[in-house]
Amino acid sequence: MSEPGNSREQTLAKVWANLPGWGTLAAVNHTSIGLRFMVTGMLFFLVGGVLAMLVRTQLALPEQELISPEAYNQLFTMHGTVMMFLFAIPVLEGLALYLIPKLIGARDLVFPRISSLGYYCYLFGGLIILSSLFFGVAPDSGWFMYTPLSSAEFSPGPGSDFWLLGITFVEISAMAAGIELTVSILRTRAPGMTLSKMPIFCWYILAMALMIVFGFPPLILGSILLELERAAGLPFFSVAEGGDPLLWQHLFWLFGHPEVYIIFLPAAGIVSTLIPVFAQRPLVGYRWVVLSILLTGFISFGLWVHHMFTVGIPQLAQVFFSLASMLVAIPTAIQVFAWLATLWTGKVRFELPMLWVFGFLVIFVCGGLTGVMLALVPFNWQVHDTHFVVAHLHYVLVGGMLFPLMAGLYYWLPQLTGRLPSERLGRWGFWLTFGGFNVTFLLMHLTGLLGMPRRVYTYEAGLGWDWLNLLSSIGGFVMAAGIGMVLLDLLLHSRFGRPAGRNPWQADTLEWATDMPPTTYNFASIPQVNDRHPLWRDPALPARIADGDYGLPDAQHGRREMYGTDAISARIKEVVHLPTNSWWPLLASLGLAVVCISLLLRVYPLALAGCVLAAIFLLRWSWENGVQQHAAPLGVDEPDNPPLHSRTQDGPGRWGMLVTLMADAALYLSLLFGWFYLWTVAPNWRLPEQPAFDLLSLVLCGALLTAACWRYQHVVKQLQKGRDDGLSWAVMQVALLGLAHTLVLVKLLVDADLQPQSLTHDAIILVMLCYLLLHSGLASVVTLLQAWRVRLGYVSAQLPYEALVFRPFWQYSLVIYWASVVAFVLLPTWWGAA
Amino acid sequence: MRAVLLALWRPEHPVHALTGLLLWCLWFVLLYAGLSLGCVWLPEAQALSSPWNTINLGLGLLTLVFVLFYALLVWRSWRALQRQPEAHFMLWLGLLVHLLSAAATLFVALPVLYLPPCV
Repeated sequence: MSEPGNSREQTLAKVWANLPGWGTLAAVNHTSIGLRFMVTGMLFFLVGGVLAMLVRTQLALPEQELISPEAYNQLFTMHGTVMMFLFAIPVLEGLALYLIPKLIGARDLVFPRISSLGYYCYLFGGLIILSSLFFGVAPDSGWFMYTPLSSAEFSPGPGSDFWLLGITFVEISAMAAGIELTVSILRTRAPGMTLSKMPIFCWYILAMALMIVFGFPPLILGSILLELERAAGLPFFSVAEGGDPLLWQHLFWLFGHPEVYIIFLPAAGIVSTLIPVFAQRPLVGYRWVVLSILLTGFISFGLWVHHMFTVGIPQLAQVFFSLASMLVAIPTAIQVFAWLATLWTGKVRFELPMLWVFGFLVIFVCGGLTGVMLALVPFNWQVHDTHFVVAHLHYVLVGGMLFPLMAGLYYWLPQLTGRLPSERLGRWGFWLTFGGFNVTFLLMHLTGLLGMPRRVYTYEAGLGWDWLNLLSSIGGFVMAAGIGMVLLDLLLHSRFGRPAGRNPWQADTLEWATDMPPTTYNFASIPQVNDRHPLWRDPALPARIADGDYGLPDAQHGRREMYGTDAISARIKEVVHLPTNSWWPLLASLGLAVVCISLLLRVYPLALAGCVLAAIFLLRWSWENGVQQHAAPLGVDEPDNPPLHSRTQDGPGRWGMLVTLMADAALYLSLLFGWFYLWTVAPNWRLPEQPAFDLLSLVLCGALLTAACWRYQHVVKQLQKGRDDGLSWAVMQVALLGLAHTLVLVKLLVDADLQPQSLTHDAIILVMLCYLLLHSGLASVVTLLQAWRVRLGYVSAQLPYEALVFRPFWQYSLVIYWASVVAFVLLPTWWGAA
Repeated sequence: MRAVLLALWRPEHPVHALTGLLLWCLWFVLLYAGLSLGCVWLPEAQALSSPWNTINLGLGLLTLVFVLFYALLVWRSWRALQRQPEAHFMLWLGLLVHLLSAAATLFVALPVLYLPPCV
């Protein structure tokens, strides 16, 4: 029995292996990518920590001149930027990328090459932002980059450009993770794992992923607009030409407040996972916790204006946001009570991860309470821009994210190294961090209440802030010592730690059914899951999985395979065959890095070349998918029950396209919001004297797009019916119609006589036209390539998948075209006439 | 298309774990946008000093429409819960989401009764 098993495992290991040596850079496996995200995130965390120590050193005593005001501005801006964008979000994404397939009984994420692209965008974007510190030109307008302070007039150096371009680059990785995690959780859970049997952590990550999909686009749009204003003089935030600096605040906080929950939810997911394991009983109120996750996810999108209570919004509107801000405390409280009830009714084992969980409970509840205080408008006005807000922010984010992350790190450490940490070092690390944190930030509430503003590089002696600042600084260094202790423990344990054995914490979820450390394919066979706690119900499950007793135990065909299951019933629908190691993600992200750096240097021809290069790499990447002969030869050794996903009409790719378009739509809606906001609120908003476009030309241009879309729809319907006569010519017709539409749109743009540098109205019209051009151009080029692929036999009645995946993109392009004609052209004309 | 829409309308469909909250988001956007536009476009808006005016009335009616729709959704989920115990998890989740969305709508809309719109 053992020989076939060994041979099977060797084959699986060979099929799923990363390339050796430098080839590891081409790895796409979720375990490798997740680990890389986490390690890189922790390194950025150390950089952010050093910046914080410099800030605390400067503030320890009054009237110090250790750091100049200019350098201090760069330090606090970079501390916030690094911690929020380069540590908190990516490290949690990395954890989710690493854990989700293991928790849901899958072998990888659905789009492994996109994970790899996301990692490299994160790495290169992070390094670009960080490099600004070493050149002494770091951004210095605060981590939320308020205009006009961050605009060219008041920040003429390249600091703001580093932030805007670098963060937008890094956000590609967040979007990639959001889309990937959403589709993976919905479509690749183990057979039988219905939504109600899904591990609670997956609910949290699903909510986080969807929040990324809808929450990040407003900031991406804001960053693009502000960079366009700085680099090309398009006045979106300048009052004189018809813009409004408050638009930036709206766009930023439309992202920024949900982001707090994007960070908090996965961390709370760690807590909801750990507490039942150490209380040795199921989580109390699983359904209530799911409900509270959903409530938190949605309500967090209705709070953004509570960051703007002092900008002059009517009282009634402020109270709407104030009440919504209080409301969000309720689902959080539901979770806290569920955790307490689980602890109360269980037999709690007080092991190291639980210390960090208790630290979280204490600190986060305090942070939540000051959050409710800040939701009250008069109190908010009183402490606005003081150290009270800084203290609250750190209680929520350090308590709500760092402590659970540490708990999770200690809990899942045996997964990474197969060994257990040192209890003694770990406890020292916890108590120093916990004590140091509270000394620093509990006192900072008082400093704020006594009136000390945030972001001042020094202060006069005798204002009552001296001893508080000194103690805060001492606490900061104690906390740093605690983090150092944890790092020491992590370094030492991989050599000296006790071997963990399989499932060392007697946990209930599937990640502990893998080997330790896990193999690249996670599971030698994919189990049927009929219970929310599979390892508690059947402790022998890991052994049977390893013996190949369940699904897809062989890989003789050489494909990386796992199951695709129904999003609701979790019944098997198809076999998803995944791409293997690939250099394209690295090359594409290098192309994008060239774009980013050349935009920073304002070498625009090079930026254009970088764009072309990145586009070529991305299109070449898309050329290789599951229908090629080397990936899965048609009809040879091919499973048909269930079929390979590339032979179906509803594989994960289609879901990926739909989720991507949701993010795209969020970006478009943000642009529409900006348009209507400026139209109604900006004091100097004005329309051009003559309409920019001839209506008849717009209609003709739209007719071409409508015809292309209709033709594509017809092609897909024929494919669904199993007909592919004249397919290549039909697809070519679509591409030609699309190209004709694109060319007419270009002509409209050239003839429009826009004044984008002197009129905000025209600047927005220009952005809208570029957005439409990007979509119709991309749709046409991809369809042109698809016509070629039809001739090569990659798209046919037997292989209709690609066309079905791409159809929503054409439909979306059509919708945004006509929506834009109505909102940006017809509506202002009608309104003006009325 | 019709079949898809009918499937989505069934109370046990998982989309109803989100429907109530999606409606809440839509209502919230309409509330905030309605208030902002009302204050910009109605000539007498800035001078209003009592809550009894066109803008607040409009916002109140908007809220009422949404709450009535929530009531319909709650009623449908409740009836389905009695008939389909096998879909208990999703029906129960949908019912509570609708109920809490209605509560959240009423709670946030409360100030319409006592604050003038544009001050």
